[in-house]
Amino acid sequence: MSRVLDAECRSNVVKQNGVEVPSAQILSEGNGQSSGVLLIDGSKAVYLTSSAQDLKETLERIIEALQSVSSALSSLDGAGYYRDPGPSPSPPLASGAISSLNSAISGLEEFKEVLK
Amino acid sequence: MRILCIHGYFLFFPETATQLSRFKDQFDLELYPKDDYYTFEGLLDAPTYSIVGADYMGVRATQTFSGKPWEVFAKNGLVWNLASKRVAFKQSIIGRIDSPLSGYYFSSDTLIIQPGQMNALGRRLVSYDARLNEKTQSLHVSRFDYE
Repeated sequence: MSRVLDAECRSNVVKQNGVEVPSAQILSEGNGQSSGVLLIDGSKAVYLTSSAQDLKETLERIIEALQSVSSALSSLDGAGYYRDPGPSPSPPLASGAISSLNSAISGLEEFKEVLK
Repeated sequence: MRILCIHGYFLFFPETATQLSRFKDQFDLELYPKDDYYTFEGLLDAPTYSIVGADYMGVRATQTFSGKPWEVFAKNGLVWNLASKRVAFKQSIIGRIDSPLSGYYFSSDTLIIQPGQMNALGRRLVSYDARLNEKTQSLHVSRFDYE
């Protein structure tokens, strides 16, 4: 007979109703503060939490990083660093890469909104 | 009425309704239905899990465990104390059980035996299976289980 109870975890310490459950096996990393469930089946106790928040924050940081790269490339391209030397000005060389980055950012933004 | 004590948890199996009323008259104790048996009021809501260090029916659980109430009792070393009507650690139960063999049964003067008591060999009683005969006011125990 198994039981599922509300629980929380922080710094690899699982608590149920304020009481530590040292025997609980944590199936996630368990470092940050999280809420989840404690599953007890016989003598086995397992702590489960949703990783959606972790994934959302990871996506947000990746998007931020890509936005920084895209912005930097746009600045450089606009300043002419990536233009072909020659008598006539050439189109921005990094525009394709910038476009790909922006497309990837849009894709990640959409993915972030539909996390399960 | 069959009385089954499993690891200090009591289950009663009356065969007729009058057995319940007689039991109440005799012991001034009411039995309450639960699943397919009857039990004491205090055992009706016995949790089916315990977490070490957390409260379990008024005592501090020693094990994290999930199972039938009597399995939780067994894991935590608990028994139902008939006198205090509360759970207690079986080590805290003082008393000796010395039921003589009578035919195929052990015959007991005490009509509800307190689990946790020791026998003459110093072994602690945890479970028993008995039949209470209301007419003859006797308890025939077909099996004792010690830890």
